Amino acid sequence: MDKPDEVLIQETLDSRMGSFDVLMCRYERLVYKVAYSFGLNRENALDITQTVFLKAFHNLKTFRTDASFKTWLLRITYNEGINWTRSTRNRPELHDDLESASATLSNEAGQESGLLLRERRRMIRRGLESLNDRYRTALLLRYVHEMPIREIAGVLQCSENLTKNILFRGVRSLKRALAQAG
Amino acid sequence: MKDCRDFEALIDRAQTGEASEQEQEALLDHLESCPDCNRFFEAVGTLRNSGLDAEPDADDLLSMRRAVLREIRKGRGKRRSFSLISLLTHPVAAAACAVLLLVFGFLLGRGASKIGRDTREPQTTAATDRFTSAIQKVAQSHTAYEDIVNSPFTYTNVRVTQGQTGMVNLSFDVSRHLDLSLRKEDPLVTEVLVQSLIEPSGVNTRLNAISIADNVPDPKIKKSLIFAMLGDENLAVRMTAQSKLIEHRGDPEITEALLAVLEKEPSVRMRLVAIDYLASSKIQPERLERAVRAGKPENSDAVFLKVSQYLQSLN
Repeated sequence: MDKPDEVLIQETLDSRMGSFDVLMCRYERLVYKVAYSFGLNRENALDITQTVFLKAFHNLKTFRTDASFKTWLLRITYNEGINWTRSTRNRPELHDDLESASATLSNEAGQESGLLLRERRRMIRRGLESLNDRYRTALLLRYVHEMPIREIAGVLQCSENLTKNILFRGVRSLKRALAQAG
Repeated sequence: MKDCRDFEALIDRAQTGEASEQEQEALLDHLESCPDCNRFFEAVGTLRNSGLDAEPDADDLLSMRRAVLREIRKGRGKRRSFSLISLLTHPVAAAACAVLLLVFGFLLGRGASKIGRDTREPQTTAATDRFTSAIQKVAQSHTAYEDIVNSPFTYTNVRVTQGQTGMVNLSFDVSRHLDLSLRKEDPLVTEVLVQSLIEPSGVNTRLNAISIADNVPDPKIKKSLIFAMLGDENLAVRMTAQSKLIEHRGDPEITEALLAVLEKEPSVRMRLVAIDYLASSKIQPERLERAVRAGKPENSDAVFLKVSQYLQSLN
Protein backbone atom coordinates (compact mmCIF):
# COMPACT_ATOMS: atom_id res chain seq x y z
CA MET A 1 0.00 0.00 0.00
CA ASP A 2 1.22 3.52 -0.80
CA LYS A 3 2.48 5.47 2.18
CA PRO A 4 0.44 8.58 3.00
CA ASP A 5 2.02 11.99 2.34
CA GLU A 6 2.50 12.79 6.03
CA VAL A 7 4.56 9.61 6.57
CA LEU A 8 6.76 10.39 3.56
CA ILE A 9 7.18 13.98 4.79
CA GLN A 10 8.26 12.80 8.24
CA GLU A 11 10.69 10.32 6.68
CA THR A 12 12.12 13.11 4.50
CA LEU A 13 12.58 15.27 7.58
CA ASP A 14 14.42 12.30 9.08
CA SER A 15 16.87 12.57 6.13
CA ARG A 16 15.33 9.76 4.10
CA MET A 17 15.76 11.19 0.62
CA GLY A 18 14.13 8.22 -1.08
CA SER A 19 10.86 9.29 0.53
CA PHE A 20 11.14 12.74 -0.99
CA ASP A 21 11.68 11.07 -4.36
CA VAL A 22 8.39 9.19 -3.84
CA LEU A 23 6.64 12.48 -3.04
CA MET A 24 8.08 14.03 -6.20
CA CYS A 25 6.93 11.04 -8.27
CA ARG A 26 3.46 11.44 -6.81
CA TYR A 27 3.03 15.12 -7.70
CA GLU A 28 5.47 15.86 -10.53
CA ARG A 29 2.85 15.69 -13.30
CA LEU A 30 0.45 17.96 -11.48
CA VAL A 31 3.17 20.50 -10.66
CA TYR A 32 4.39 20.32 -14.27
CA LYS A 33 0.90 21.11 -15.60
CA VAL A 34 0.57 24.20 -13.42
CA ALA A 35 4.16 25.21 -14.24
CA TYR A 36 3.33 24.83 -17.93
CA SER A 37 0.59 27.44 -17.67
CA PHE A 38 3.33 29.94 -16.73
CA GLY A 39 6.31 28.66 -18.70
CA LEU A 40 4.33 27.83 -21.84
CA ASN A 41 6.92 25.36 -23.09
CA ARG A 42 8.52 22.12 -21.95
CA GLU A 43 11.92 23.47 -20.84
CA ASN A 44 10.45 26.35 -18.87
CA ALA A 45 7.88 24.06 -17.24
CA LEU A 46 10.61 21.61 -16.19
CA ASP A 47 12.74 24.47 -14.81
CA ILE A 48 9.85 25.78 -12.74
CA THR A 49 8.96 22.25 -11.57
CA GLN A 50 12.54 21.66 -10.41
CA THR A 51 12.62 24.96 -8.49
CA VAL A 52 9.26 24.15 -6.90
CA PHE A 53 10.46 20.81 -5.53
CA LEU A 54 13.70 22.34 -4.24
CA LYS A 55 11.74 25.08 -2.46
CA ALA A 56 9.29 22.50 -1.10
CA PHE A 57 12.19 20.47 0.30
CA HIS A 58 13.88 23.46 1.92
CA ASN A 59 10.61 24.64 3.47
CA LEU A 60 9.30 21.23 4.45
CA LYS A 61 9.89 21.98 8.13
CA THR A 62 7.37 24.80 7.93
CA PHE A 63 4.67 22.57 6.46
CA ARG A 64 1.81 21.98 8.91
CA THR A 65 0.98 18.29 8.93
CA ASP A 66 -2.74 19.00 9.40
CA ALA A 67 -2.82 20.74 6.01
CA SER A 68 -2.88 19.14 2.55
CA PHE A 69 0.59 18.65 1.07
CA LYS A 70 -0.86 18.78 -2.43
CA THR A 71 -2.47 22.18 -1.86
CA TRP A 72 0.71 23.46 -0.20
CA LEU A 73 2.78 22.27 -3.15
CA LEU A 74 0.37 23.85 -5.65
CA ARG A 75 0.63 27.16 -3.80
CA ILE A 76 4.41 27.05 -4.07
CA THR A 77 4.02 26.26 -7.77
CA TYR A 78 1.66 29.16 -8.37
CA ASN A 79 3.88 31.61 -6.46
CA GLU A 80 6.95 30.34 -8.25
CA GLY A 81 5.13 30.69 -11.59
CA ILE A 82 4.25 34.31 -10.74
CA ASN A 83 7.89 35.02 -9.79
CA TRP A 84 9.02 33.39 -12.99
CA THR A 85 6.80 35.48 -15.27
CA ARG A 86 7.63 38.67 -13.36
CA SER A 87 11.26 38.40 -14.21
CA THR A 88 11.39 40.22 -17.56
CA ARG A 89 13.86 37.87 -19.17
CA ASN A 90 11.52 34.93 -18.58
CA ARG A 91 8.35 36.59 -19.81
CA PRO A 92 6.77 34.13 -22.24
CA GLU A 93 6.97 35.49 -25.74
CA LEU A 94 6.88 32.54 -28.07
CA HIS A 95 4.74 29.54 -27.62
CA ASP A 96 7.29 27.01 -28.86
CA ASP A 97 5.33 23.83 -28.23
CA LEU A 98 2.20 25.28 -29.77
CA GLU A 99 4.20 26.34 -32.81
CA SER A 100 5.72 22.90 -33.28
CA ALA A 101 2.38 21.17 -32.65
CA SER A 102 0.82 23.40 -35.29
CA ALA A 103 3.61 22.70 -37.75
CA THR A 104 3.20 18.94 -37.33
CA LEU A 105 -0.54 19.20 -37.69
CA SER A 106 -0.31 21.38 -40.77
CA ASN A 107 1.73 18.66 -42.45
CA GLU A 108 -0.75 16.01 -41.44
CA ALA A 109 -4.01 17.76 -42.17
CA GLY A 110 -3.34 19.17 -45.61
CA GLN A 111 -1.75 22.49 -46.34
CA GLU A 112 -4.79 24.76 -46.50
CA SER A 113 -6.67 23.55 -43.43
CA GLY A 114 -3.34 23.23 -41.66
CA LEU A 115 -2.57 26.86 -42.32
CA LEU A 116 -5.99 27.94 -41.06
CA LEU A 117 -5.55 25.87 -37.91
CA ARG A 118 -2.08 27.25 -37.41
CA GLU A 119 -3.37 30.79 -37.74
CA ARG A 120 -6.15 30.15 -35.26
CA ARG A 121 -3.70 28.65 -32.79
CA ARG A 122 -1.39 31.61 -33.18
CA MET A 123 -4.31 33.87 -32.34
CA ILE A 124 -5.07 31.80 -29.27
CA ARG A 125 -1.45 31.94 -28.21
CA ARG A 126 -1.44 35.71 -28.48
CA GLY A 127 -4.76 35.88 -26.68
CA LEU A 128 -3.41 33.74 -23.84
CA GLU A 129 -0.23 35.77 -23.58
CA SER A 130 -2.25 38.97 -23.30
CA LEU A 131 -4.15 37.64 -20.24
CA ASN A 132 -2.96 38.15 -16.69
CA ASP A 133 -1.42 35.22 -14.82
CA ARG A 134 -4.58 34.27 -12.94
CA TYR A 135 -6.84 34.20 -15.99
CA ARG A 136 -4.31 32.33 -18.12
CA THR A 137 -3.61 29.75 -15.41
CA ALA A 138 -7.31 29.21 -14.74
CA LEU A 139 -8.14 28.79 -18.44
CA LEU A 140 -5.29 26.39 -19.16
CA LEU A 141 -5.89 24.27 -16.07
CA ARG A 142 -9.61 24.06 -16.78
CA TYR A 143 -9.79 23.64 -20.54
CA VAL A 144 -6.44 22.09 -21.39
CA HIS A 145 -5.72 19.99 -18.33
CA GLU A 146 -9.39 19.49 -17.31
CA MET A 147 -8.64 20.13 -13.67
CA PRO A 148 -11.69 20.30 -11.37
CA ILE A 149 -12.71 23.77 -10.13
CA ARG A 150 -11.85 22.71 -6.54
CA GLU A 151 -8.24 22.00 -7.46
CA ILE A 152 -7.90 25.17 -9.51
CA ALA A 153 -9.16 27.06 -6.45
CA GLY A 154 -6.31 25.44 -4.49
CA VAL A 155 -3.79 26.61 -7.08
CA LEU A 156 -5.15 30.16 -7.22
CA GLN A 157 -5.52 30.27 -3.43
CA CYS A 158 -9.13 31.43 -3.49
CA SER A 159 -12.66 30.07 -3.05
CA GLU A 160 -14.40 27.90 -5.64
CA ASN A 161 -16.90 30.69 -6.35
CA LEU A 162 -14.14 33.20 -6.97
CA THR A 163 -12.41 30.63 -9.19
CA LYS A 164 -15.55 30.33 -11.33
CA ASN A 165 -15.63 34.10 -11.52
CA ILE A 166 -11.98 34.26 -12.57
CA LEU A 167 -12.68 31.60 -15.17
CA PHE A 168 -15.60 33.51 -16.67
CA ARG A 169 -13.67 36.76 -16.67
CA GLY A 170 -10.75 34.95 -18.27
CA VAL A 171 -13.13 33.57 -20.88
CA ARG A 172 -14.46 37.03 -21.63
CA SER A 173 -10.98 38.52 -21.82
CA LEU A 174 -9.87 35.79 -24.20
CA LYS A 175 -13.01 36.27 -26.26
CA ARG A 176 -12.30 40.00 -26.47
CA ALA A 177 -8.69 39.39 -27.43
CA LEU A 178 -9.76 36.94 -30.13
CA ALA A 179 -12.41 39.32 -31.47
CA GLN A 180 -9.82 42.12 -31.71
CA ALA A 181 -7.37 39.85 -33.47
CA GLY A 182 -9.92 38.36 -35.83
CA MET B 1 -34.39 33.84 -21.97
CA LYS B 2 -30.76 32.98 -21.51
CA ASP B 3 -28.09 35.56 -22.29
CA CYS B 4 -24.46 35.08 -23.34
CA ARG B 5 -23.28 34.94 -19.75
CA ASP B 6 -25.47 31.87 -19.09
CA PHE B 7 -24.04 30.26 -22.21
CA GLU B 8 -20.50 30.95 -21.04
CA ALA B 9 -21.21 28.77 -18.00
CA LEU B 10 -22.77 26.19 -20.29
CA ILE B 11 -19.77 26.23 -22.64
CA ASP B 12 -17.56 25.50 -19.63
CA ARG B 13 -19.67 22.48 -18.70
CA ALA B 14 -20.10 21.32 -22.30
CA GLN B 15 -16.36 21.43 -22.95
CA THR B 16 -15.64 19.30 -19.92
CA GLY B 17 -18.43 16.84 -20.70
CA GLU B 18 -20.69 17.90 -17.82
CA ALA B 19 -23.65 19.32 -19.84
CA SER B 20 -26.85 17.32 -20.40
CA GLU B 21 -28.05 16.52 -23.93
CA GLN B 22 -30.80 19.12 -23.63
CA GLU B 23 -28.29 21.77 -22.55
CA GLN B 24 -26.01 20.85 -25.43
CA GLU B 25 -28.85 21.31 -27.91
CA ALA B 26 -29.71 24.72 -26.45
CA LEU B 27 -26.07 25.67 -26.68
CA LEU B 28 -25.81 24.62 -30.33
CA ASP B 29 -28.91 26.72 -31.16
CA HIS B 30 -27.34 29.73 -29.46
CA LEU B 31 -23.98 29.23 -31.17
CA GLU B 32 -25.64 29.36 -34.57
CA SER B 33 -27.00 32.83 -33.87
CA CYS B 34 -24.16 34.32 -31.76
CA PRO B 35 -20.78 34.83 -33.51
CA ASP B 36 -19.19 36.00 -30.24
CA CYS B 37 -20.00 32.82 -28.30
CA ASN B 38 -19.26 30.75 -31.37
CA ARG B 39 -15.79 32.27 -31.56
CA PHE B 40 -15.20 31.53 -27.91
CA PHE B 41 -16.55 27.97 -28.18
CA GLU B 42 -14.16 27.31 -31.06
CA ALA B 43 -11.31 28.91 -29.13
CA VAL B 44 -11.88 26.65 -26.14
CA GLY B 45 -12.10 23.69 -28.48
CA THR B 46 -8.81 24.69 -30.09
CA LEU B 47 -7.29 25.20 -26.64
CA ARG B 48 -8.34 21.68 -25.73
CA ASN B 49 -6.82 20.25 -28.89
CA SER B 50 -3.80 22.51 -28.95
CA GLY B 51 -1.31 19.89 -27.88
CA LEU B 52 -0.65 21.91 -24.72
CA ASP B 53 -1.99 19.03 -22.66
CA ALA B 54 0.86 16.80 -23.82
CA GLU B 55 2.00 14.69 -20.88
CA PRO B 56 5.54 15.41 -19.76
CA ASP B 57 8.11 12.91 -20.91
CA ALA B 58 8.94 10.30 -18.22
CA ASP B 59 12.67 10.67 -18.89
CA ASP B 60 12.42 14.46 -18.50
CA LEU B 61 10.75 14.02 -15.14
CA LEU B 62 13.32 11.45 -14.01
CA SER B 63 16.14 13.85 -14.94
CA MET B 64 14.34 16.64 -13.10
CA ARG B 65 14.06 14.49 -9.93
CA ARG B 66 17.71 13.49 -10.16
CA ALA B 67 18.70 17.13 -10.48
CA VAL B 68 16.62 18.04 -7.42
CA LEU B 69 18.13 15.24 -5.32
CA ARG B 70 21.60 16.16 -6.49
CA GLU B 71 21.05 19.80 -5.58
CA ILE B 72 19.81 18.76 -2.13
CA ARG B 73 22.80 16.48 -1.57
CA LYS B 74 25.19 19.23 -2.65
CA GLY B 75 23.59 21.63 -0.19
CA ARG B 76 23.98 19.11 2.60
CA GLY B 77 27.64 18.43 2.02
CA LYS B 78 30.43 20.92 2.38
CA ARG B 79 29.78 23.84 0.11
CA ARG B 80 32.49 24.10 -2.49
CA SER B 81 33.54 27.03 -4.55
CA PHE B 82 32.37 26.47 -8.10
CA SER B 83 34.15 29.34 -9.83
CA LEU B 84 35.41 28.43 -13.27
CA ILE B 85 39.04 28.83 -12.22
CA SER B 86 38.72 26.63 -9.16
CA LEU B 87 36.80 24.10 -11.23
CA LEU B 88 39.49 23.94 -13.88
CA THR B 89 42.31 23.79 -11.36
CA HIS B 90 40.68 20.92 -9.46
CA PRO B 91 42.60 17.83 -10.66
CA VAL B 92 39.60 15.49 -10.75
CA ALA B 93 37.36 18.01 -12.48
CA ALA B 94 40.12 18.89 -14.93
CA ALA B 95 40.64 15.21 -15.78
CA ALA B 96 36.89 14.73 -16.17
CA CYS B 97 36.67 17.82 -18.41
CA ALA B 98 39.56 16.57 -20.54
CA VAL B 99 37.93 13.17 -21.00
CA LEU B 100 34.58 14.79 -21.66
CA LEU B 101 36.13 16.98 -24.33
CA LEU B 102 37.70 13.90 -25.90
CA VAL B 103 34.37 12.03 -25.85
CA PHE B 104 32.54 15.08 -27.19
CA GLY B 105 35.12 15.57 -29.93
CA PHE B 106 34.93 11.92 -30.81
CA LEU B 107 31.14 11.94 -30.96
CA LEU B 108 31.19 15.18 -32.97
CA GLY B 109 33.65 13.61 -35.38
CA ARG B 110 31.44 10.60 -35.75
CA GLY B 111 28.40 12.82 -36.33
CA ALA B 112 30.23 14.87 -38.95
CA SER B 113 31.57 11.82 -40.72
CA LYS B 114 28.04 10.47 -40.96
CA ILE B 115 26.87 13.36 -43.13
CA GLY B 116 26.04 11.98 -46.55
CA ARG B 117 26.10 8.42 -45.29
CA ASP B 118 23.39 6.07 -44.12
CA THR B 119 22.74 7.16 -40.53
CA ARG B 120 21.33 3.75 -39.74
CA GLU B 121 24.82 2.31 -39.87
CA PRO B 122 25.23 0.10 -36.78
CA GLN B 123 27.56 1.32 -34.07
CA THR B 124 30.82 -0.47 -34.36
CA THR B 125 32.27 -2.48 -31.52
CA ALA B 126 35.36 -0.31 -31.68
CA ALA B 127 33.32 2.84 -31.13
CA THR B 128 31.53 1.25 -28.17
CA ASP B 129 34.88 0.13 -26.73
CA ARG B 130 36.28 3.64 -27.03
CA PHE B 131 33.22 5.12 -25.40
CA THR B 132 33.38 2.54 -22.58
CA SER B 133 37.04 3.28 -22.11
CA ALA B 134 36.25 7.04 -21.90
CA ILE B 135 33.65 6.61 -19.16
CA GLN B 136 35.96 4.20 -17.33
CA LYS B 137 38.63 6.92 -17.31
CA VAL B 138 36.14 9.38 -15.83
CA ALA B 139 35.16 6.79 -13.21
CA GLN B 140 38.83 6.19 -12.42
CA SER B 141 39.36 9.91 -11.82
CA HIS B 142 36.64 9.87 -9.14
CA THR B 143 38.59 9.28 -5.98
CA ALA B 144 35.93 10.49 -3.51
CA TYR B 145 32.23 9.83 -3.01
CA GLU B 146 31.49 13.51 -3.73
CA ASP B 147 33.13 13.12 -7.16
CA ILE B 148 30.59 10.43 -8.04
CA VAL B 149 27.75 12.58 -6.68
CA ASN B 150 28.87 15.35 -9.02
CA SER B 151 29.80 13.06 -11.91
CA PRO B 152 29.19 14.43 -15.41
CA PHE B 153 27.66 11.05 -16.31
CA THR B 154 24.46 9.63 -14.88
CA TYR B 155 23.65 6.00 -15.43
CA THR B 156 19.99 5.12 -15.94
CA ASN B 157 18.03 1.89 -16.47
CA VAL B 158 20.74 0.12 -14.51
CA ARG B 159 20.74 -3.67 -14.18
CA VAL B 160 23.51 -5.21 -12.19
CA THR B 161 24.07 -8.92 -11.62
CA GLN B 162 26.83 -11.15 -10.32
CA GLY B 163 28.86 -12.57 -13.18
CA GLN B 164 31.43 -15.37 -13.29
CA THR B 165 34.12 -15.42 -10.61
CA GLY B 166 35.21 -11.90 -9.82
CA MET B 167 33.04 -10.37 -12.55
CA VAL B 168 29.96 -8.16 -12.54
CA ASN B 169 27.48 -7.80 -15.39
CA LEU B 170 26.35 -4.24 -15.92
CA SER B 171 23.63 -3.00 -18.21
CA PHE B 172 22.83 0.72 -18.33
CA ASP B 173 22.12 3.78 -20.45
CA VAL B 174 24.56 6.66 -20.60
CA SER B 175 23.91 8.56 -23.84
CA ARG B 176 23.74 5.04 -25.36
CA HIS B 177 22.91 1.59 -24.02
CA LEU B 178 25.81 -0.52 -22.82
CA ASP B 179 26.04 -4.16 -21.71
CA LEU B 180 29.35 -4.86 -20.02
CA SER B 181 31.01 -7.57 -18.03
CA LEU B 182 33.72 -6.06 -15.84
CA ARG B 183 35.91 -7.08 -12.94
CA LYS B 184 34.43 -6.18 -9.56
CA GLU B 185 37.27 -3.82 -8.75
CA ASP B 186 36.80 -1.82 -11.98
CA PRO B 187 36.14 1.86 -11.07
CA LEU B 188 33.16 1.90 -13.44
CA VAL B 189 31.53 -0.90 -11.41
CA THR B 190 31.96 1.19 -8.24
CA GLU B 191 30.63 4.27 -10.05
CA VAL B 192 27.50 2.50 -11.27
CA LEU B 193 26.89 0.74 -7.93
CA VAL B 194 27.19 4.01 -6.00
CA GLN B 195 24.91 5.84 -8.42
CA SER B 196 22.34 3.02 -8.23
CA LEU B 197 22.14 3.58 -4.48
CA ILE B 198 22.06 7.36 -4.38
CA GLU B 199 20.02 8.15 -7.49
CA PRO B 200 16.39 7.12 -8.11
CA SER B 201 16.39 3.51 -9.32
CA GLY B 202 14.30 0.34 -8.96
CA VAL B 203 14.20 -1.54 -5.64
CA ASN B 204 15.63 -4.68 -7.25
CA THR B 205 18.50 -2.69 -8.75
CA ARG B 206 19.30 -1.21 -5.34
CA LEU B 207 19.12 -4.61 -3.61
CA ASN B 208 21.34 -6.20 -6.27
CA ALA B 209 23.80 -3.32 -6.02
CA ILE B 210 24.07 -3.83 -2.25
CA SER B 211 24.56 -7.58 -2.58
CA ILE B 212 27.41 -7.00 -5.04
CA ALA B 213 28.97 -4.05 -3.17
CA ASP B 214 31.06 -6.21 -0.86
CA ASN B 215 34.05 -3.89 -0.80
CA VAL B 216 32.76 -1.92 2.19
CA PRO B 217 36.16 -0.44 3.16
CA ASP B 218 36.06 1.51 -0.13
CA PRO B 219 34.93 4.95 1.16
CA LYS B 220 32.73 5.56 -1.89
CA ILE B 221 30.85 2.26 -1.49
CA LYS B 222 30.65 2.74 2.27
CA LYS B 223 29.14 6.23 1.96
CA SER B 224 26.57 5.10 -0.58
CA LEU B 225 25.59 2.17 1.68
CA ILE B 226 25.25 4.57 4.61
CA PHE B 227 23.16 6.83 2.36
CA ALA B 228 20.90 3.86 1.53
CA MET B 229 20.69 2.68 5.17
CA LEU B 230 19.67 6.13 6.39
CA GLY B 231 17.96 7.55 3.34
CA ASP B 232 16.18 4.86 1.35
CA GLU B 233 12.40 4.84 1.55
CA ASN B 234 12.27 1.04 1.22
CA LEU B 235 12.79 -0.91 4.45
CA ALA B 236 14.26 -3.95 2.67
CA VAL B 237 16.93 -1.75 1.07
CA ARG B 238 17.75 -0.05 4.39
CA MET B 239 18.01 -3.40 6.18
CA THR B 240 20.17 -4.97 3.47
CA ALA B 241 22.49 -1.96 3.48
CA GLN B 242 22.74 -2.18 7.25
CA SER B 243 23.54 -5.90 7.20
CA LYS B 244 26.31 -5.20 4.69
CA LEU B 245 27.77 -2.36 6.76
CA ILE B 246 27.82 -4.20 10.10
CA GLU B 247 30.14 -6.80 8.61
CA HIS B 248 32.81 -4.13 8.97
CA ARG B 249 33.39 -3.77 12.71
CA GLY B 250 34.85 -0.80 14.52
CA ASP B 251 34.55 1.74 11.71
CA PRO B 252 33.95 5.24 13.17
CA GLU B 253 31.84 6.37 10.20
CA ILE B 254 29.60 3.30 10.41
CA THR B 255 29.36 3.79 14.19
CA GLU B 256 28.08 7.35 13.69
CA ALA B 257 25.61 6.15 11.06
CA LEU B 258 24.26 3.46 13.39
CA LEU B 259 23.77 6.04 16.13
CA ALA B 260 21.69 7.95 13.57
CA VAL B 261 19.72 4.72 12.96
CA LEU B 262 18.89 4.62 16.68
CA GLU B 263 17.68 8.20 16.52
CA LYS B 264 15.73 8.16 13.27
CA GLU B 265 14.88 4.63 12.15
CA PRO B 266 11.30 3.45 12.86
CA SER B 267 12.16 -0.25 12.37
CA VAL B 268 12.72 -1.94 15.75
CA ARG B 269 14.75 -4.70 14.16
CA MET B 270 17.22 -2.26 12.62
CA ARG B 271 17.58 -0.45 15.93
CA LEU B 272 18.28 -3.74 17.75
CA VAL B 273 20.93 -4.65 15.18
CA ALA B 274 22.47 -1.18 15.62
CA ILE B 275 22.66 -1.71 19.41
CA ASP B 276 24.44 -5.05 18.91
CA TYR B 277 27.03 -3.41 16.67
CA LEU B 278 27.55 -0.39 18.90
CA ALA B 279 27.83 -2.55 22.03
CA SER B 280 30.42 -4.78 20.41
CA SER B 281 32.30 -1.64 19.28
CA LYS B 282 32.52 -0.59 22.95
CA ILE B 283 30.80 2.72 22.35
CA GLN B 284 30.50 5.09 25.30
CA PRO B 285 27.34 4.07 27.19
CA GLU B 286 26.18 7.70 27.49
CA ARG B 287 26.20 8.17 23.72
CA LEU B 288 24.25 4.98 23.20
CA GLU B 289 21.70 5.96 25.84
CA ARG B 290 21.34 9.46 24.40
CA ALA B 291 20.73 8.12 20.88
CA VAL B 292 18.11 5.63 22.08
CA ARG B 293 16.28 8.32 24.07
CA ALA B 294 16.29 10.66 21.06
CA GLY B 295 14.78 7.89 18.91
CA LYS B 296 11.23 7.04 17.89
CA PRO B 297 9.09 6.32 20.94
CA GLU B 298 6.83 3.90 19.04
CA ASN B 299 7.38 0.19 19.78
CA SER B 300 10.58 0.95 21.63
CA ASP B 301 10.14 -1.46 24.57
CA ALA B 302 12.46 -4.07 23.06
CA VAL B 303 15.01 -1.36 22.24
CA PHE B 304 14.99 0.06 25.80
CA LEU B 305 15.20 -3.46 27.25
CA LYS B 306 18.21 -4.34 25.11
CA VAL B 307 20.04 -1.14 25.99
CA SER B 308 19.36 -1.52 29.71
CA GLN B 309 20.60 -5.14 29.58
CA TYR B 310 23.79 -3.93 27.89
CA LEU B 311 24.29 -1.10 30.38
CA GLN B 312 23.73 -3.48 33.31
CA SER B 313 26.31 -5.87 31.87
CA LEU B 314 28.87 -3.06 32.04
CA ASN B 315 28.38 -2.57 35.79
